Amino acid sequence: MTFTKRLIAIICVFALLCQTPLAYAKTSSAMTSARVKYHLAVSDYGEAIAACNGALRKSAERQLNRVKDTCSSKKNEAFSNYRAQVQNLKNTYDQLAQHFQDPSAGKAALDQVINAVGVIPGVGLFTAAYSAANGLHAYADEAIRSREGKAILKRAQQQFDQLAQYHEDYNKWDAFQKEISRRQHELDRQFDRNCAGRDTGEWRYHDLDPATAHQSGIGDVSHSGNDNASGEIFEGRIRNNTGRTIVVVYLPGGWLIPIGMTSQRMVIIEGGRISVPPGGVVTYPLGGFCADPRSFPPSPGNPERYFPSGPQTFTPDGNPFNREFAIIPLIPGIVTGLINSGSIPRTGLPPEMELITLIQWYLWNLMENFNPEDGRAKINEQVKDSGSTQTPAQITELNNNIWIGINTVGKRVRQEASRIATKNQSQAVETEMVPLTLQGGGIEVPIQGGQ
Amino acid sequence: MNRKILIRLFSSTVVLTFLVSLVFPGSLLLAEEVSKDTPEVERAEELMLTSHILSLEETEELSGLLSEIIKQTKDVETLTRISLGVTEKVVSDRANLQFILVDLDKLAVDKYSANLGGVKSSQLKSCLDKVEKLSIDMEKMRPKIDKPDKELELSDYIKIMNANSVFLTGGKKIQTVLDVWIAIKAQITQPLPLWEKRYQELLLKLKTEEGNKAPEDVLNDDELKFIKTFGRLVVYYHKLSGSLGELWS
Repeated sequence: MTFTKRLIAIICVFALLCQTPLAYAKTSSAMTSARVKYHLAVSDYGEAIAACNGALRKSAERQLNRVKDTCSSKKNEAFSNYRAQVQNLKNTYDQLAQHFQDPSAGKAALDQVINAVGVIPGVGLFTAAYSAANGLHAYADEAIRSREGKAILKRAQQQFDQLAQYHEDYNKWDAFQKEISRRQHELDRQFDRNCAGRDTGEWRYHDLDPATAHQSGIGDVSHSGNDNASGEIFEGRIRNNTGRTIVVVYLPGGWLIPIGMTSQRMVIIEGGRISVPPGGVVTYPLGGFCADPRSFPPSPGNPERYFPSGPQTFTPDGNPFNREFAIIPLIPGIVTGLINSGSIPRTGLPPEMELITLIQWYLWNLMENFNPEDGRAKINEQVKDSGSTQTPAQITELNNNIWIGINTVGKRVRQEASRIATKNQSQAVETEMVPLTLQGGGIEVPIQGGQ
Repeated sequence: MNRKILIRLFSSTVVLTFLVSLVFPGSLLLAEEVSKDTPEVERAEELMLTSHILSLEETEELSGLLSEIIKQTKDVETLTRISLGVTEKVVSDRANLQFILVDLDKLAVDKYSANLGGVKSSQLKSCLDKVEKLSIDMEKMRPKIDKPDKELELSDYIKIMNANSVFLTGGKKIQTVLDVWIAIKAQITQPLPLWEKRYQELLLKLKTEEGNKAPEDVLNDDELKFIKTFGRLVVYYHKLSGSLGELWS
C-alpha cells in the first residue's frame, strides 16, 4: 500500500471512529435544547392555569406543538439514517462474507444480524440484534484470518454501533414526544378544570390594564393615597392622551405597589372598568387593604408613587396559604356572610370597623402570620394615637374577640380555598367587571373597600 | 352563444356564492381566517406573553424579531398588539421582580429563615435600589403622547414599542429587567436549597395532618411565617426562571 493510500485509509477510519461520538453529541445537544423549550412551555402553561390566561395558554400550546414537531422531525431523521445504515451494513457484510473460511456458516451468522436489525427501528428489537452481533463478532474473530477481512470486520462493527445509536435516537425522540403529549393532555384538562366559567383575559384584546395604559403613554394613570391602610385607600386618576375612548381594567385582587418599596403595598379587592373619553380625565376612589403590616400607609397629597399590578397568581404546590391567596377577592364576601349569619360573635368594635378589621387582620395573617401578639400591639398603638382610655383588660378582651372572629374567617376561607381547588367546575373568583362609576364628570364608584 | 354561456355561468356563480354566504356567513371570511400572523409576530408574542424573565438569547431573539416586524408590518392593528404586548411584558416583569424582592427582604430579616440561609443586607439593598431605578427609568422613558383629538398612527406605536423594548432588549445603557433579575437571583442562589429543604419538610408535616388539624396547630409561629413568605418566594422564583413545571403537579 502506498503512503498516500495508507494516509487516506487512516483518515477514513478516524472519520468513522468520530462519527459515533459526534452523532451522539449532536443528538444530545438537540435533545437538551428541546427539553429546555419543553420546560419553558410547561412553565407557561402552569402560569396560564394559575392565572386563567387564555392567551398564555394558546402560546404554551403552540410552544409544545413546536417541540413535538422537532421530535417528529428528529425521529424521521433517525429513521432515514437507520435505514441507510442497514443498507451500508448489508453491503459491508457482503464484502465480509468472502473472507470466512466456511462461507455458509459465515453467511448464516451475518444473516442473523441483518434479520434482527430489520429496516425499522423499534423498541426492544435491539436486544436480539446485540446478541446476534456479539455472536457474529465472536465467530468472525476466529473464522476470519486475513488482514483485509479483519479490517472489514472492524468497519462492520463500527457501522453496527452507529446503527444502535440511530435506534437509540429514534426511541429517545419517540419517548419524549409521547411524554409531551401526555403532559399536554394533563395541562389542557387542568386549565379547563381550573378556569371553567372564569374570565380568561379576552378583555386584553381591546382594553388595557392600568400599568400598561400608563407605561405606553396612552394614558396618564396616577394613584394618590388617602392616609388609610384599609377601605378607601387611593384616589385614582386617568387622563386619556389619545383621540379614542380607552377602557382601563382593574382586576379584583390586583395590587398597588410603591415605587420606593418603603410604604405598604395594597391589595385591591374589587375590580372594575373605567371608560375614559378621548382627551378626558376621570378620577375614582379605589378601595382595598394593606398587604404589609410593618410598613406605613400611603400618605395623602403627593406621596410616594404607586404603580398598579394585576392579581398575583400561585401555581398550586400543596401550600394551603397559597391557595387562600388565590381567593383574596372573595374574602370580604366571606367575612360579611359570617358576620350576617351570626357565626362571628360581636367584637365590640363599631360594625363597619369590625368588617374592615377582620378582613385586614386576616390578610396580614396570610401575608406575614400577623397573630394575637401583633394584634395587641396594633390596638395599643391605635389607643395611644386616638388618645382613648381603654384599660389593658379591655384591650385584651377586644383582641381576644377579634381573634375568635379571625379564626372563624380563617377556617371558612381555608374550606372555600380547598373546595375550589378540588372542584371540577369553578364558580370561584368571578372577575365581574362592574363598570366603575366615577367622580369628577362621572358617577359614584361602586368599588367597596369597606368604608 | 359562448358569450351567453359564460355570462350565465358567471351570474349563477355570483348568485350561488351569495346564497352560500347567507347560509354560512363565515364562509366568505375563510380567506381572511386562513391568513395568520407572520412567524415573527407569533414568536414575538410568545416571548412577550411568557411569565419568565427572558434570557439573554431570548432578548436578542426578540430584538431581531421587533426590527423585522417594524420593517414588514404596515398594519396598525398588529403594531398595536406588539407595542402593547412589549409594554405589558415590561410592567409585569417589574411587578414580579418587586414581589420576589419584598419576600426576600422579609426572609433576610427574619431570624428563623436567616438561621437557615443568609442573605447579605448590603447586597439586598443594592437589589432594592436596582428595582427602584428600573421604575424611575421606566417613568422617564415613557413615551410622551398628546393626541387627544386624533387616533394613534403606526409611528406612535413604533415609538411605544421602541421606548419600552429597551427594558427587555437593552441598549442606551439602560438597566434591563434581566439585569435586575440576575442581581436578585444571585442573592437567592445560596440560601434557596436550604430554605427549600425546610419548606418541603414543613409542607410534609402539614400534609400529614391535613383534614385533622389546622396549620396553626401543627406549626409554630416562626414556621408559619416562613411557610407563608417562602411559599410565595419559591413560586415567584420558579415563575421567573421558567421552571414552574417543577413545582406544579
